[in-house]
Amino acid sequence: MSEIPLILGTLPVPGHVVKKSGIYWLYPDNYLCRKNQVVGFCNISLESMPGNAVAQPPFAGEADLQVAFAAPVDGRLRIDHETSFGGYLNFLGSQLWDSRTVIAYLTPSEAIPGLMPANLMEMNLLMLAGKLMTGLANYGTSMLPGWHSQVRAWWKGPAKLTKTLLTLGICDAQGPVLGDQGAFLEFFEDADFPCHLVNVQNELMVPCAQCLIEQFFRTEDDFNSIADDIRQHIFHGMVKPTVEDYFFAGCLLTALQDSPVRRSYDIVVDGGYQRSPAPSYILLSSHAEPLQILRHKKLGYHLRIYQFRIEQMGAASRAWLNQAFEIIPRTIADIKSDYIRLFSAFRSHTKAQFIILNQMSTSGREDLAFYTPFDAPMGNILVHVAAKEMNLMLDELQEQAGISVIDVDAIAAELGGGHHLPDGIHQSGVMQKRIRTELLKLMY
Amino acid sequence: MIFNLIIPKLNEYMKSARIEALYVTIGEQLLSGSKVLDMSVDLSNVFAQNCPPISYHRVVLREKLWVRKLLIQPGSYCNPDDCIALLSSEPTEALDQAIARPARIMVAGIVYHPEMWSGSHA
Repeated sequence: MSEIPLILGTLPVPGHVVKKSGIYWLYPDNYLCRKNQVVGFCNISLESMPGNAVAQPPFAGEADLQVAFAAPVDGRLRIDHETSFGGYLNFLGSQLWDSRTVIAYLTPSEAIPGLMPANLMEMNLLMLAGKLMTGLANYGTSMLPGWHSQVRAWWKGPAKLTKTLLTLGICDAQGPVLGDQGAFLEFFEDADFPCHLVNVQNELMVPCAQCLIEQFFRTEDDFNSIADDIRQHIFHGMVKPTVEDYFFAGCLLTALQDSPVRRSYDIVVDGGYQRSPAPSYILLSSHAEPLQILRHKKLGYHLRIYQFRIEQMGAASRAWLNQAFEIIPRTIADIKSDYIRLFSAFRSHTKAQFIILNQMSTSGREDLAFYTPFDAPMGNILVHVAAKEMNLMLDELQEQAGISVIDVDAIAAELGGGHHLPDGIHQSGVMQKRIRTELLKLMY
Repeated sequence: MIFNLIIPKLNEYMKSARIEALYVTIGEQLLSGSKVLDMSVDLSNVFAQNCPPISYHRVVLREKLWVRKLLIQPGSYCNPDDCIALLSSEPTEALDQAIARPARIMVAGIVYHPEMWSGSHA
């Protein structure tokens, strides 16, 4: 079977010139690649054409723009090494994007009807966009490098994208969506329909329903009050702030500033670029829901921050948390009520389907012979009783509120939680694939 | 008879545990069902990680014994199978005799609570 030249293909961004860096190839020559398996990537930049009347450039705020390349069919890849420039030229967008540029050759594994030896094939282009937490956190020699508050991806294809999955979860939701390299590669290799994925990453504020509701309704005045309080107590309080405190304040304010549900996004497709519609699916982690939450005594807003993050904070931030917040216990009924309010709030803006991951509710590590040492309600103490109650509540929500639940509990039980979900949250690759498969079924 | 209380290895990846709460004192008589300690296990403790897989566990005694010696305090780090306490079947038995066997315990996964050592030392 003869080799087919693979070309870059078109990347239309009206009013702009697209420039690309050299290509990082992820596999060696003669690699037998699968259809839609990403084999290389480059950075791109957009330069406005003279006279371009577009007021706001596309992808505003998304400093990391990349294109990842995948073969359109299974086959053996031969790379044109001239496409990789090395050094900074593999990082900087220094070369014009020319759709006819041949970047590799493919010997298809199976004959392609009607394809002549002289024919060219376009690479499938996976578009990647990252919004940096700060412009200082930009370092780039991998896919979606740097520290992002949001990353997203989609295939550049002929179809108008109508399906957007917004992930507002923690590790158990992000892992199956982002995959091993944090760039959605496994998801897009498995997905055989057009879709757009958005993953919101927030290292500091755990996205529980109560915090997401407040984030959704927070006004500019509310935000300014929070910022003033932080400024007064962390930067001008009794404890001298350290570098860690400045980072903490910046991260927290970034998380509190706006709701990802209200955002819209630029997407490049064959016909040009479009604004994405509101999310059609929202993925949440039930693990984000706490049995205790912090509430600001004066301003009334809530925070859910992991204990290990609190240990990493500066002393001034911890002093502020200790003084300004109180710990509020929450029950499963409270969490259910939060979820219902969240669905109602988000549905005022989007018709998104909610998908929630439930929890593994058993552990081979436990050897409980009797329950008398534990006071009722045991769900407040025993983590697997709490998980069972959470899962039951999610089943009720599935019936009552029309949401979808991915049964992580059943998947872990089938695969073996001790090996595939050792801490109850962070899955193995095998388990991530199973969760991804369930997610794709819901989205198809 | 003298019994030792050892840190159970809960998982093949577990390298150590941090004592988060200690509920017993020397000289105290414990009954079957008495809570002994809470501990946290960080499965990533061999290297720093962005979101460490930390879980919390409570150790509960399954027999009636006296607390004679404690080798840990809240905040202590222990390895699996470390002896952390000596217990006896009678309140004043000599401790210089051979250990009969490990004390019978059970372990439950628990929800994080603010009284844990990490909550007050962060």
